[in-house]
Amino acid sequence: MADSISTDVLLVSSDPLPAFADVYAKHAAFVWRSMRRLGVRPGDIEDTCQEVFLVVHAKLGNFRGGSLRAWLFAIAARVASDYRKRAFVRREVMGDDLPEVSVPEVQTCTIERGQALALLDAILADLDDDKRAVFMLFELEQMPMQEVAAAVGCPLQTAYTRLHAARDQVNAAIERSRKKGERRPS
Amino acid sequence: MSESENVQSLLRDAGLRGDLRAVLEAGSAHDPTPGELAGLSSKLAALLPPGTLPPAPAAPAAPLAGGGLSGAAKLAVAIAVIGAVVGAAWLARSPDATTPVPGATPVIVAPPSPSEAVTSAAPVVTASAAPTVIGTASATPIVTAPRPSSTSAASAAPLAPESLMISRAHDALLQGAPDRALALAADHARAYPKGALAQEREVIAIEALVAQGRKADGRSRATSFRTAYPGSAHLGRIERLVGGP
Repeated sequence: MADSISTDVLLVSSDPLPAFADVYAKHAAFVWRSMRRLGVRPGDIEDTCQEVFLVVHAKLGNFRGGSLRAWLFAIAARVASDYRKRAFVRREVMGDDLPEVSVPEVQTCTIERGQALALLDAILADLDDDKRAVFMLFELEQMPMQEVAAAVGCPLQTAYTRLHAARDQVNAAIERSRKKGERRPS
Repeated sequence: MSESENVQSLLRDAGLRGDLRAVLEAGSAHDPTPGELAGLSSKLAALLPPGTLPPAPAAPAAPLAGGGLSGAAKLAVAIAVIGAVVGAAWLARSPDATTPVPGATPVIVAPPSPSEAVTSAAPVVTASAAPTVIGTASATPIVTAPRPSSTSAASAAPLAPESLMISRAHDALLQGAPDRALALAADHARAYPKGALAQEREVIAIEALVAQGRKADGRSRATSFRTAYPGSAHLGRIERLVGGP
């Protein structure tokens, strides 16, 4: 495990515990983004975020320092995992149903944001939990990898391995989507 | 040290393919809206024990404007007031507000601390109000307020014009009408210059300015926002809205 994480969000055990209101103010958006990327449907994000922060409120006294974001993400991931396990919200396997990138490659930088988000959601849904968590924290949240490893509870090198595997899958999915768009008659 | 420990995130790679960059940038900038955060805040305020957050003063409008409060205290006050007056309206806006959520054995959320005086205007929903469980055993079991019941305390209170103004401005943004959103934000600023939802108003205004193509104006307003609310939960969203050239 990464014990010597060096980021500005670290607390050491001798630091006073952050107040719940401060934790919420600083990290509500992060938790919200995380829940969405972890496969929670838009209509359920508010409820699951609420659940996360109620856990945070109950457990904040047990926080023993380290990365607060990593700690929050670990809670969020458990809540999201439980959410996904419920049969009625289980997402369909995306398979070949990735949204198309229906513009020529030269214009791909102008992909509509909504289309890009839909594609990202589909790609993330296709990743397994471990790879998705590492990819979203490192690539989308720009977290240092040591903090990512702490958040997902794995050794640093394992986190890098998961990142590389996730990147391969993401690149393949983007390529598949692009080719699908090119095959589509204009 | 492993070679891979020098790996940089893809977005820092200047040679990253355009389509992959577009996807990653869209995902990294996809923050909750002010309205979404307000909805979450109102629900939490109704569930948390009194004393967890600084209590709201009895008279909401003027004391809320208190410039001496810290960012967190302002947030807490806003949460409390929003919980009291906005919760019902916001939940009513949710398309699946009555969706039942199956769960396991209900477990009661930590009760309010008896040592804390109940001075907040925000309603507190306890487990006795037929809770719905959305957690399961692997995480700390949590009881959430049932949606209809969570509005019961708030529903008795009249809807605040302030929250309605913000709600309408937010709706205008979602409907692709930044002009109207900006006008409604201006109306709110005149009526409630230091209202409980001033932060949400400013975020809506900044987003509307950007949507109008007035990024410089949005940036200027964002600068004022950072000064006024240095600890705001909206800062990340604002920076993403106005940060790029």
